[in-house]
Amino acid sequence: MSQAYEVSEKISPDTALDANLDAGSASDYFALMKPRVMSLVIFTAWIGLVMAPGEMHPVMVFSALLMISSGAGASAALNMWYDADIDAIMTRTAKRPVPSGRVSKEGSLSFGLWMSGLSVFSLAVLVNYLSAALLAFTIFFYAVVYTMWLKRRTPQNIVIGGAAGALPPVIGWAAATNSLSIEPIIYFAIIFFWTPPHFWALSLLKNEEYKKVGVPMLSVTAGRAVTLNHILAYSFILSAIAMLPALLGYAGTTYAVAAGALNIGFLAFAIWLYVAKEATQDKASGWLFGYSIAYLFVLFACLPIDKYVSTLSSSGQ
Amino acid sequence: MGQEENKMGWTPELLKQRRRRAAIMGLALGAMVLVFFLVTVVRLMENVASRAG
Repeated sequence: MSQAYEVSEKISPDTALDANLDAGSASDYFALMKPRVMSLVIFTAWIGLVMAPGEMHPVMVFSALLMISSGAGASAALNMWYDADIDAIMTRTAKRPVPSGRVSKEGSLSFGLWMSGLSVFSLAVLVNYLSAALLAFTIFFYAVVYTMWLKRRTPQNIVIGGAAGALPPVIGWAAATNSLSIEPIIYFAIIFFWTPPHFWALSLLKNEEYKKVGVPMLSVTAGRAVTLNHILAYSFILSAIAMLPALLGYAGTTYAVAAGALNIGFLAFAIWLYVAKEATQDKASGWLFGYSIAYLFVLFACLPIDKYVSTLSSSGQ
Repeated sequence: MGQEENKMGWTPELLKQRRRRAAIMGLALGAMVLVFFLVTVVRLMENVASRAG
């Protein structure tokens, strides 16, 4: 799978605009930042910030989250600039601002570059250099390593590329402490191993589209059976890693019980998808994809809840 | 200026969008200045508190 997949530009977004003028509104530029993905980034970065030891002033928390989310949005804009050709062909992405012609490719590129520079610079000046360096690495990894290099070359694209999406809680922790430790690395591992089953469930649903644009998702290159094996294997690994905060003593009973229940749900959906007959395969993929989003939100929300419950019970003694 | 822009393909709708984008960009820059100011104040307060301690 070393050969790069070439995709012909069936629709050139540039031709949608006369004289290369941007017709995009502010909301189109906001859409370039993939707000739904950004909400997950803000949430997991906030978890990193609140789970870190010590107290951080709310203004510092707000500015750190603002810069981290801006950086994540910047990398999304760079992704939309580079992927405009395949986004135009896939129905899931055809309405994005660049393929639909509301924002030019140049507009998306310059917006992404400016936002990247501003967010990293501001995080360095306002918070600390370690978090800024991690944010710069995350933007580079998502825009260059994942989008430009891996996405169209290997079925392991979302496995390796998932590292970019897994870094926000680490950046949050670094912003709060100016250091790193085991806990943020566990948070990183949870998102890293959550990403493949989440995206492979989606790729099973959109397999024909990925095939059409030549993106070598596992379901395209290796077929459905191999993808299902991988989803199941990663689901078991994820379930084990999700228990680590409790097993290593970084979280208490509240988290352990919630994580256990969430894991049972995740494994149940993964097994259902694995054994599903042809008639229910799409339904099972859709359920696993949807559940995986809720899983990550609830699992991470349980960390500060558990911390709060532990503080209450220890202060009550 | 207006005629020159029209020659370049700026329609009234595009000009309106551009003005709106410029206004939002101005607001965003103002908000960024405010964030820098507030963080500076917070850091000064923390430094004063640590010296007093």
